[in-house]
Amino acid sequence: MVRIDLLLSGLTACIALIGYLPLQGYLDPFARFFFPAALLAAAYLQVKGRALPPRVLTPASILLFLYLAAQFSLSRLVPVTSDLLVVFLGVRLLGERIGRNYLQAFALSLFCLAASSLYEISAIFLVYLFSLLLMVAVALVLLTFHAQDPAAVLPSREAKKVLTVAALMPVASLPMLLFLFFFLPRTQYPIWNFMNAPAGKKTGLSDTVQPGTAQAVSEVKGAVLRAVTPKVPEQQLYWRAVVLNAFKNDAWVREPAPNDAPAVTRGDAVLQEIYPERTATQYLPALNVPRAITDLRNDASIDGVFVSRRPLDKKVRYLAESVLADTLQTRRIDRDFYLRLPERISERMRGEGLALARSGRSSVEKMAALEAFFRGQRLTYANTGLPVGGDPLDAFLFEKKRGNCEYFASCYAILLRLAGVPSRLVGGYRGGTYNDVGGYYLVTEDMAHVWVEAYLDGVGWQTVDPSAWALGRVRSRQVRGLAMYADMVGFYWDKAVVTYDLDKQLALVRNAGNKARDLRLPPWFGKVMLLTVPVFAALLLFVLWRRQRPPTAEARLLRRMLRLLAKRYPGEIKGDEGIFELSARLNDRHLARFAALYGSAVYRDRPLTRAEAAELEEIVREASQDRP
Amino acid sequence: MQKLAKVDEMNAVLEELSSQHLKGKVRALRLSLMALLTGGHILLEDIPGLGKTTMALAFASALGLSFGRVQCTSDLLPSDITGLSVFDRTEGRFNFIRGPIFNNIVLIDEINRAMPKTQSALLEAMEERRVTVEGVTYQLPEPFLVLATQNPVEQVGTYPLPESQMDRFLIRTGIGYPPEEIEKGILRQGSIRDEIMHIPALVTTDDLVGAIAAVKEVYVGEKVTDYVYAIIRATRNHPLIQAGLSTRGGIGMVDAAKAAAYLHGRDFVAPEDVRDVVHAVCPHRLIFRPEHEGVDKEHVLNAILKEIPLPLT
Repeated sequence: MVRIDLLLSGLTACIALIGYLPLQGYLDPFARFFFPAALLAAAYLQVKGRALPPRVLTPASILLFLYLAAQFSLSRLVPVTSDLLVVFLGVRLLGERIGRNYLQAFALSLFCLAASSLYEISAIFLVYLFSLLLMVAVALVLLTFHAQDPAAVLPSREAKKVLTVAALMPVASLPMLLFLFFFLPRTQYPIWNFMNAPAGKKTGLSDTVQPGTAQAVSEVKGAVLRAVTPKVPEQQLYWRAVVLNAFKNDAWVREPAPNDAPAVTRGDAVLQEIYPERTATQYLPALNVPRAITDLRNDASIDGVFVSRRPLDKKVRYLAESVLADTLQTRRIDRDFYLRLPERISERMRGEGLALARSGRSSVEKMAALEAFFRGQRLTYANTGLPVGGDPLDAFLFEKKRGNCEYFASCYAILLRLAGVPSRLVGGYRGGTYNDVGGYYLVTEDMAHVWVEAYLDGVGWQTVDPSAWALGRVRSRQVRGLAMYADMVGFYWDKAVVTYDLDKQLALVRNAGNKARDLRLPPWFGKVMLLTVPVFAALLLFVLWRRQRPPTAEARLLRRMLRLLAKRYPGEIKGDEGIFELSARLNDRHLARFAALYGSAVYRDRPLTRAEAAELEEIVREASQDRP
Repeated sequence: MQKLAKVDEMNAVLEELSSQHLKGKVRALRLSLMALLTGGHILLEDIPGLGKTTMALAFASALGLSFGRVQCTSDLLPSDITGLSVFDRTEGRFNFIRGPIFNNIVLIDEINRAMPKTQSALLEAMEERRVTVEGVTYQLPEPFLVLATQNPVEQVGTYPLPESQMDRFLIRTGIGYPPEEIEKGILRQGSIRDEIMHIPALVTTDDLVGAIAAVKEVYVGEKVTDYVYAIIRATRNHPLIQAGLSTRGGIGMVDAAKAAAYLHGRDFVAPEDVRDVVHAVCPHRLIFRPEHEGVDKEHVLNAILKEIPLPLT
């Protein structure tokens, strides 16, 4: 035995939860805690078999509305609305368990879910949406039972049947959903949140590097990009995003690249199809060293940095072509530009660098000497307990001896410059988790990395990663197991759904158009088709119309009347009865009038007169308006 | 649509009889009236004691018609039905004494007990509506209805009517047991034979003649004829049936349908009228192949009717 009211209440609670959960992270504390409290209270009331009467709930709703609406402003339009939706949803759960309240709860849940899409579009939305559709459909069917008899109880077998049929309805509508997917317009970014979302995220990559501003770097574990590409050797997994080449207030910054000769990279190209997450910066990371980026309008610099022309505030994709090399060949650079030094350099560092500069050795030897120096200092790689204060780099090298990649790279590059070797910092990401199932690399925020490029005469820019000389490097955790699959689902969601936009829809149409244009046909074909197709179409339509339409006015009238009756007396019209029989059985006064008039013409072998036809029309019209 | 002559009176008779005196015999009563109105005859086939005679009596009284009754036996002679000439000594000539057939309504009880010679004399009178005795032809009264009964169960000492003679009856029907409540009422009340002798006439003979004329005028359209013909053809082509409906059977079907339409207050026949009467008019005219004798005629007919769509337009 299944109690319909219990089932309905449980479903409603689940539906309300699905409305609340996706919004939960974006709610004000009041609404965030009000809803669970209301849900618990509703469960308690259900157990006790009671409900709050409208005379309590209505004033409470008004008060809540006033309280929440007081925070309303144009910039807080969506947050306040979501709060209101969630709070009202909670209030609805507390009310009497009648059809109207259930329906309102369903509608509010749908609105809540819709509101959540203003903040975030992710694959989980699909899961929420499908569960909600399924449960609302089932609940609506149950509601029809509930409306008949609130205390209805169904035997288990019957209940199973009802639930199966109810669940089949939304499932059957899925193909329709897929069909619509290709045509309906969509947005690639959450409409409300796209402006503040990147700001809210702490990005691991920045276009300034100044070690010593914080004692610890928090590890953010958000995804940065996913790149579909074959597997690459681990030691070559450097994702180049930005090159920092100058100082501003002792911080590494990027200045427009000076008048260098164009860089050349030799080697086999590795193609990557990259799906970056939304970010505030416009640098387009790609495997070191990228040669070209296509499919997204961008500006390339000669130092291998690509900048998107439009903000990356929505999901996009681009194709990158890289050469896995550790040298970037250039014939000529602006040496002075790459030898500039920051204003403050500690004496000890300056001493180290100048000693090397005076040694008169070649650039390669200087670099080797520096590597030996770094190794000799026994530096540790860490993200916490970082040196801060007046001269953090000095403290890093000689006292605390621990730091992250920024310290390593900064120190090394400055020492190189002191020693007379042109150098610059490269910002990007190091590593990546290969998703074997999806065939792509996942790069996360915590993989943000800075390394150094040193210029060797006659060779070019040589990639050096000083962080590698640290004593021990704590490797970040790998994404494994379930998490890997979850990430993959999210990735394909972005790939297939979110980045599938109007452009692609238009491209589809354009492609079809192009294909059609390229079709070779005999010259007469067009004219003949132009003539025959409309003729055939018209003919076809006419035949269909004739077949579907009863041949005579009498038959059309009769069909209208019978359809009307079938609607009024469901299941009563079998189609094997005469009209007089039917009118006697149904005892329908309209049909009796209709039959007398209709029969006296049709069974007397004469066509309907104009007046009779009009009268029959009138009877049909009256019957259609007359509700029994 | 103008009002049909006397239709209200006819329906009133039916209503009065079936609600007051003859409960649970609506169908048989209605068919009998239809037979009377079309000038046909009716064969009631059922076991004794279901009120066939009572019904015939009540029917005659209510319509204000004369009633005659013949109880058939194997030694019944034709003259017992038609009457015979008796010599009048005082006047010195033969006087014709009319038999029971000279009544408006004649009840022939257990017609299959009479010997074929008597049966055929009777059937001739039914068909011709006149009797010729000793060279003199006597016209039978108008309206004229023969209500014959036969017991389908008893076979010993009977002369079953051949199919060709069954064809003379417009309608064959059973009476059937009355519904439970009504039968209990009848048991409580006892026989009402005396009571029905005193049912006042509800209509006059002129009314009846008028009604009969009106039924003749009922229009039979092309669609209905097509429908009737489709039924006839289907019975003729049916694999189980040796001989389908004769043309007379078709005429009977149309006539009965006319009466049905008339009783419904219509001056034209609708296809459902035909279907309404098929089961009363057709089964006894169908001759099945010898190997299919046992098949229920009603079932076959139902199957045929289901195949033929009712012409609605």
